[in-house]
Amino acid sequence: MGTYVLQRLLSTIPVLFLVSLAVFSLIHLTPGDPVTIMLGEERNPEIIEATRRDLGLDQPIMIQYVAWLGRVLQGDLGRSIRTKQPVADLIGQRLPATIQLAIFSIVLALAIALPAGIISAVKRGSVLDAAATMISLLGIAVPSFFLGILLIFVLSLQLRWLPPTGYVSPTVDLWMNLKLMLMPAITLGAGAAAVITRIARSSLLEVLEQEYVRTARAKGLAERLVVSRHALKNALIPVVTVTGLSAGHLLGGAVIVEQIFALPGVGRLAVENIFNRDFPVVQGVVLLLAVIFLAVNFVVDLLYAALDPRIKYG
Amino acid sequence: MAERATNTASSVAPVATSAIPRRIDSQVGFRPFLARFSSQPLPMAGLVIVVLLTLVSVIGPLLTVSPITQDIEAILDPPSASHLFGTDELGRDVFARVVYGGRISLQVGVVAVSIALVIGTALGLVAGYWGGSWVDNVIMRAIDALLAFPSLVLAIAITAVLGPNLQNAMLAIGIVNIPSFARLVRGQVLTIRPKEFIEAARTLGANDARVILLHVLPNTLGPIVVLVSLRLAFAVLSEASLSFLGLGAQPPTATWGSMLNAGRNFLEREPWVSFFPGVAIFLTVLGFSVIGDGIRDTLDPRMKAGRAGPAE
Repeated sequence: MGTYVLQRLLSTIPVLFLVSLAVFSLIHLTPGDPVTIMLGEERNPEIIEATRRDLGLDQPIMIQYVAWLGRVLQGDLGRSIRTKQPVADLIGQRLPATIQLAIFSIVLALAIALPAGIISAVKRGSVLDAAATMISLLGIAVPSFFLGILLIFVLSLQLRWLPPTGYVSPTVDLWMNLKLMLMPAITLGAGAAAVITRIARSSLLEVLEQEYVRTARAKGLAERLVVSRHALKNALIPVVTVTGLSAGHLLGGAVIVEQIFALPGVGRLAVENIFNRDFPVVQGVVLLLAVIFLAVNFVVDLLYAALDPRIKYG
Repeated sequence: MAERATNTASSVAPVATSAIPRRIDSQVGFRPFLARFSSQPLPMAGLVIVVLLTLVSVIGPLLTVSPITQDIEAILDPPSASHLFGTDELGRDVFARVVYGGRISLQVGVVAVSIALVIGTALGLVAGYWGGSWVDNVIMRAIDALLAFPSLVLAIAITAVLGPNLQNAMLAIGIVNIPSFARLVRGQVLTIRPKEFIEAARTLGANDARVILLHVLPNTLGPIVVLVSLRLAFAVLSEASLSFLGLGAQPPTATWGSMLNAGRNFLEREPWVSFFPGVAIFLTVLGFSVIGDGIRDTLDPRMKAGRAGPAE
């Protein structure tokens, strides 16, 4: 296992290198001169040159990359062109909302998907199974922004149960924070819940066909115990993987959900600054999301290896 | 043709009634495939949706008024006989805008998936055929790097850099979809490569290009078709996401995502402005995904257990 962790860690390094290269290149792939695009109406050549120097864009490209990477590794993501604040600070202010949203969504998704998947597998072919399968199909197809808007329409505007949009820090007013986060979490978690339901169902069905489960039944064990004590443990392995992968993909979805519900997260920070042409901020967020995404996938792989001793690595 | 049989015929009960089929193809050809596909209600429903959407997109301009004509006498009018889906805040016909938005969605879907299909398949064929070589390594590491970004974040980053417009949205969504094709095709090629008929072709003097194009590629087509359909769903969804964020086709062009976004402001009293484009996106995405599921189940009934793709 130790060797596997190390191997997996080492194999991440070239990917991280390519990711950093891609994110670094963002600014250089812009058609035209990035500095004049970023400064917009500014025509003063001195200011243009000063900005170019500040961004290091007057240096040879390899030097720029090495210098940039060096700073990034020390946690320095540069400064916003517009506000002059360090990008790392801007991200730091916005990260809690995104993380809370992501965790809340995945917890909610699991709370719905696990029971739904298990019931539909155990009661295969029943009305409940059909309903769960249908709802999960809809859950995969419904775009998050449409679901979010429907939720606001029904729960906030018609029934007036929840406030429509906005954000309050949990340290200020926990109850209000939870009320405001509920709809975004449902919106973001719906797709994941649908996928997890499907995988839980099919994985449990597969395990229930296996010989050792038949043995458990043959020795007279109650079906409930067969499922909970024998089948479930093995059936959950793919569920863990898919949950982890979904958790990674939530990061992308969060950008949209933050926009719908006016949450001050990193996704919204990036989108706002695309329109401001504030590339260092966009760069910082994209890099951060990619690194988190890789880290999540890494943890998923380790969990998978830890859970399933049948798998050999090497 | 006979080679393709080895791929699709596995464990499929013959549909032909005669005891001895005249040709192997009669069990695995297009017509039996169609028969099995059309016996599934959900994929057929998806097909109806997609065909309708395509039809409406093609003949749409004959059916509706212009999507940018403003009628200042009819601002935010509810659905009626003259405005089937009502009008928006500028007095534009929502039905016309949904129809024209569908043209954009379909166009982006087709162009983006074509980009991904061509580049991804080519990369996958090369990587798989020379599996384990340095070429394979370089290609797959590049693919890993693309996969290191949550797909929507990557699409947003690309459009942000190139500038938000329709062409760049198509390009971005195309690039984001390359890895799934490359990985699928590479995997397929790796299983086909050691087979005897490939060796036979090489022994007969076929060069690499010929072997890849005439012998390897045809055997990967089934799963590719499935992936195309699933990725079309994803591409339509991505286009809607980008235009929802304002990163797709720019106003006054009608796109479903941008209509949905603009309609948010009138949600309480004029919900039709955002409701209809939302339903359109939903049905289109659903249509393409159930078709994909249906084709997969038809090609390989053993896979019926359910798709284990990540939520995107």
